[in-house]
Amino acid sequence: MSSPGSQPAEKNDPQSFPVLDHQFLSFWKEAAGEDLGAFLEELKSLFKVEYQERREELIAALESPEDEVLSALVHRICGSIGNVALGRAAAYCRSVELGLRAGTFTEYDSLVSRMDAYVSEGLEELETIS
Amino acid sequence: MSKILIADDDPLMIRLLEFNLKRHGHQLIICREGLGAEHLIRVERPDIAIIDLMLPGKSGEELIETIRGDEDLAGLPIIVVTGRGEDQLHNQLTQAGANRIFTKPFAPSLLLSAISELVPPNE
Repeated sequence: MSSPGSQPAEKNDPQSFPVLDHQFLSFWKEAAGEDLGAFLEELKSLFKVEYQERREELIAALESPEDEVLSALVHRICGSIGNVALGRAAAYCRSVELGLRAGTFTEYDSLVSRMDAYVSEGLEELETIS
Repeated sequence: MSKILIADDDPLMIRLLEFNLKRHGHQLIICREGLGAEHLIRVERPDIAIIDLMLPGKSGEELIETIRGDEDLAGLPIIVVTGRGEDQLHNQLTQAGANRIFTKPFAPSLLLSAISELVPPNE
């Protein structure tokens, strides 16, 4: 798994986004109150299952990449990532999705490893909250 | 308390909505795809529908068009949740008949306020 920080700076660089989306976390706090820890644990478990399934779909789709198919898959993964407040990982997925839609995305070989790295980084930081 | 239909295929978003809405006493009907959601709207007669745009079977936008084009269902308040924040898309959804549009992530309190506004308590 590559380090999220190993890539060069680019426009809308995910590195410029916080690892966690604290705005979203504050929404959870508002909703969950004292139950936040248990709620986060539940969301993380759901996310891990969902991410694994979508990731496998993405790997399969990358065998014969079509930008339209990939952008729909990445959009969906981005939604799941956003739901667990992984701000930087979501920013990376959004930039990939936009690149795929615009036909400017070329880094197919590193897509999954970079996404994994940002997700791992985010989940590790989320552990410190729950 | 309102009877709310949630049409979303993302288990995380469903859980987030469920967590927030059940705490406030709302009754939920959950469906993970568009055609099933249309069927449940006809059968269960919810007070309001919360619809994700990217649904399998029938997209959220198609579902809104079906609801607004059906005399029997046209009055159903619709809240759309989407990960896409483009103005053009939001205008398109408003024209199609969405009453409110929330771009993820959104504050649970705003969603609850929208439900209260769209479904008066005596209904």
